[in-house]
Amino acid sequence: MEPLNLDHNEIMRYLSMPADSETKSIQELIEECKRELFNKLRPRFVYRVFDIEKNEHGIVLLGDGFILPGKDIVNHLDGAEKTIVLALTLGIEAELVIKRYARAQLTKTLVLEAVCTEIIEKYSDQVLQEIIKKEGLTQWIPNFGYGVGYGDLPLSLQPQILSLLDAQRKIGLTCNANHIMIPRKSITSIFGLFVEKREQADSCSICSLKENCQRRKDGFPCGRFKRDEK
Amino acid sequence: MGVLNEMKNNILLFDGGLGTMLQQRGLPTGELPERYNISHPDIVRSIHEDYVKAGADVITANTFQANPLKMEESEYLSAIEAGIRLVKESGARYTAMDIGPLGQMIEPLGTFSWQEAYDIFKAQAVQAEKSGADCVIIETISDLLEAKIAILAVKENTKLPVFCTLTFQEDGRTFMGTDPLTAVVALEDLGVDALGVNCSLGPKELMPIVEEMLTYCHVPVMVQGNAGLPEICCGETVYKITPEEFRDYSKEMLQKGVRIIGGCCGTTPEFIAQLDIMRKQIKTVAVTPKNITAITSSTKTVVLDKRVSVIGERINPTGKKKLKEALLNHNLEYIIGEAINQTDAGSDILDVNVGLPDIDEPAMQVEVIREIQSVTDLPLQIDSSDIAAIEAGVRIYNGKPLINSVNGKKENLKAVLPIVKKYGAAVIGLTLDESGIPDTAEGRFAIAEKILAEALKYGIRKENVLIDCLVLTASAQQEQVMETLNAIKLVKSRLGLKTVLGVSNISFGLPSRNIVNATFLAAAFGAGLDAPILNPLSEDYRRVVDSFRVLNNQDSGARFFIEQYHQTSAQPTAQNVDKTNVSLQELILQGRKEEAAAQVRNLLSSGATALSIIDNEFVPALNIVGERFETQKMFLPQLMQSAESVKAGFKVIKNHMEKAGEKPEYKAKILLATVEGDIHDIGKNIVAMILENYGYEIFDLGKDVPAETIVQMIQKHEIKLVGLSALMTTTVQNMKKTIEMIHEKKLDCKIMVGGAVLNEEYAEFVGADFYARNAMDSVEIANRLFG
Repeated sequence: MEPLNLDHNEIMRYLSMPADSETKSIQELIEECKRELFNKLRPRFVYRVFDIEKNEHGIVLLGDGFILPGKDIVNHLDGAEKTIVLALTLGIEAELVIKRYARAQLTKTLVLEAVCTEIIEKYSDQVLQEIIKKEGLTQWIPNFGYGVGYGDLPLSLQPQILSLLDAQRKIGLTCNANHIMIPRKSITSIFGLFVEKREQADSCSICSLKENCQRRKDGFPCGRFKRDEK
Repeated sequence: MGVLNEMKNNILLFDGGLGTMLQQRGLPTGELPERYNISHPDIVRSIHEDYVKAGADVITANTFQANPLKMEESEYLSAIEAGIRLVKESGARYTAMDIGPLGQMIEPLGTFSWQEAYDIFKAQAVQAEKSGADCVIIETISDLLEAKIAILAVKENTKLPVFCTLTFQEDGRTFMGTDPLTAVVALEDLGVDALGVNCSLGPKELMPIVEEMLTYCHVPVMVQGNAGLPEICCGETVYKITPEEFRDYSKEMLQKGVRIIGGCCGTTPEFIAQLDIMRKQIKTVAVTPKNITAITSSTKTVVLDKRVSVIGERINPTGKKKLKEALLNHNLEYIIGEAINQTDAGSDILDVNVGLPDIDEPAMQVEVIREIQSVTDLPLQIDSSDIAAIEAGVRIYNGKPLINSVNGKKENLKAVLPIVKKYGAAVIGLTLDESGIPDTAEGRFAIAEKILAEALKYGIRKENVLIDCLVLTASAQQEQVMETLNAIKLVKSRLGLKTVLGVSNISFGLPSRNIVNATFLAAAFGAGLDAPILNPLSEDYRRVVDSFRVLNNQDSGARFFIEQYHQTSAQPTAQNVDKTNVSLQELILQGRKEEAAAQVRNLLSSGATALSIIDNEFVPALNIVGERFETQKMFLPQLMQSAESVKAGFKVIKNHMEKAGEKPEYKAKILLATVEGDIHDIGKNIVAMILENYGYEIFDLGKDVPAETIVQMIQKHEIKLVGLSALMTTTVQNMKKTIEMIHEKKLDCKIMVGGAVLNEEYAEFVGADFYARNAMDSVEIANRLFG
């Protein structure tokens, strides 16, 4: 894939390291992983754009009738003119690169995971801009990508979201019986498109992992939300 | 006349897209099209009728997703029955049962089992035959292994002809990375009646893929492209080429030798009508595919005609104590390490032999092949004297394997050749029979000739037979060495078969074996050897192979050779790495693993005992690491680098002890596993490494491990502490299930749990004894329990 401009601080966060840590060997490892991943990955995405409507169950994707249930997704999309449902995967190559090192070079595996996560973030940003441009939606402003499994939007919806997008056929993305997407380095996200920039809700408040989350305790919650707030 | 007969002299025309037609007639998006077979039979039938009118010979039933993963168990068989009936009612000449991908990734990359997939395909095919289908088309497949499973399921359970088409992306590979050559080599000899491509791309983009297939494919090639490249418009997919353009591209394909044509997404009866008019005006074109000797993984084909190929011999327990132990303890890490090292050393093919007296060889063969295939893209040579182990391995293998081996004994030929034929494999024939190994080259040649003749009788293509003329040791049977080389010459010149040879035995019993081996290898290359089986980590061998590839014009412009050897002398040697002044503890703290290992070697050679290094160096260093981690002066990646350094040091100590005939002592045994359904294992791997550093013997069962396996292993190895990991809330349930099963069996062992979603409450909910926040916690738990 074309190399992306990755945010080094974010990678350090995923590694649970302070951004200013100057451990040379880790820095070198990050660069090595970036090179290897950019060289091997074949990321792909698929999306659909919907007009939406609110009802008592949640958000209805018009034209399809699909319902995104729950209060949190209503909050996320309340007032949105349209929504983009996006699935994106770094492909089986990400899986294979990580597996290749998983037993023998664990530190490298950890760094590969972190770099993959940041690639997904940046690739997602890039893809979203592409979609907005291509679909002539530039008059609106997107909010952050809401993931299936956040808040009260159940993870069990994942297979339906993937079939809504025909993601298996179009980008080779599957989901197992426990709702884990395979290839693992993949996301599905739901963006609202708004007339004006929205105040971002505290994303942690709806997160089911909030009690456990070391990142939150440390004062820097998930990269995606954090960046949106900047 | 059957569809296969019809194909012999005519171009066969399939129908076009069904999904888009159904949507045009009111199928709501989101609704499964196969349900329409029951709820709206008239609509489905009338679409089929339109394709019949357009001139299609074969109509594909609306059964692409009629499987128990997409529909209710009770519903999908009726959908198949109705789907096939509707085609028949439409007046179609031939009815094709349509089988699409299951939408699940098959293990080891996914969690769906080989057998589950097989059972579904079997049920679909059996129902199709019962309902009167004339053939099965397996289509839009990205995963080569899924194609293989589906083909086997149809062939083994029905008499229906099988057509199979894969779907390739613009970069010429499927989502899973399979290229057209690999698809052809891996699938053509599996008993398919036609092989080809469908969907994803339009005929223009498919052209190079189709050409590549036509170059090599021995069965008719089939193409069902989309109506052009899919373009996304308003978030919806649209196709833009006209029926006339589609026809013209298709015509070009037929003129190149394609025999079966039709359409996929976006094509309509109008497209098919155009194809029908066109195909009636042209004659079928016979193709002469290249005959090559090749084997594949799922993403790579090794063509033995192209250059001499190295077969790595290191995954074979004969004479390898560590590998034996690894197999007995399910220590796949060691085996995977061997696979990766041999891959990195430039092997082309890896031999896999797991034969040991006390193990279930077929089951082990399956487990090891799967793991190796997920870390290397090299094709494998499945090596066993146990016929059941060969078949088990070949069956689940992703790609076309090389079977090692068959020999000239009547019984052996009868047992092995049907497996070679059925699974479309290649096979190595050993030149020995009931009377042993003949003394003369002519004698060995005669056996090779017999093996080939037998293989041909089974319908195995000549290119799939390779011959091993067998090496005898120069020290014991010196006069035989040249007979082996002469036999190679005979096999090459008279039979035109590729040859394989296990070279290392030649030097057994002689000093400086590497010199003898290298010289013999060069001589064997001179005699025409195509694929030596050897230790690819040996530099002497590598030099012979690399230089021979220059001399016989296989390393074009000596590019590889120059790149590898132009500055050999400038590379750092092991010695100057050893001469470091930094203390071992400091090296561990800094995570410099190669240097730490070298330092351990230095200490051992200057008389330090293993125990003193562990107690005075490893443990204090680890304690400092642990403390710095707790106080956030050191972070996870650094902790891991230190742990990897200790691990490297331990490896040196273990080797040292083994040489001295001592056994490493462990504090206790701990079993670790990621529970069933979950495929996240990095956290568990970190825990394994750190516990190992602290002197525990780890039984790491990997990821997606069923509760039953965990229970069995606890019983077998008398485990007292089990660590279970789960990352997802959805798989915490399986953790609970596993613990319940351990409790039901009243096993005397404690359970600790960890993973991203786990916390104290969850740990209590699943019934664990301990919750480990991180790897250091698990050490503390273990130390408390066993301390």
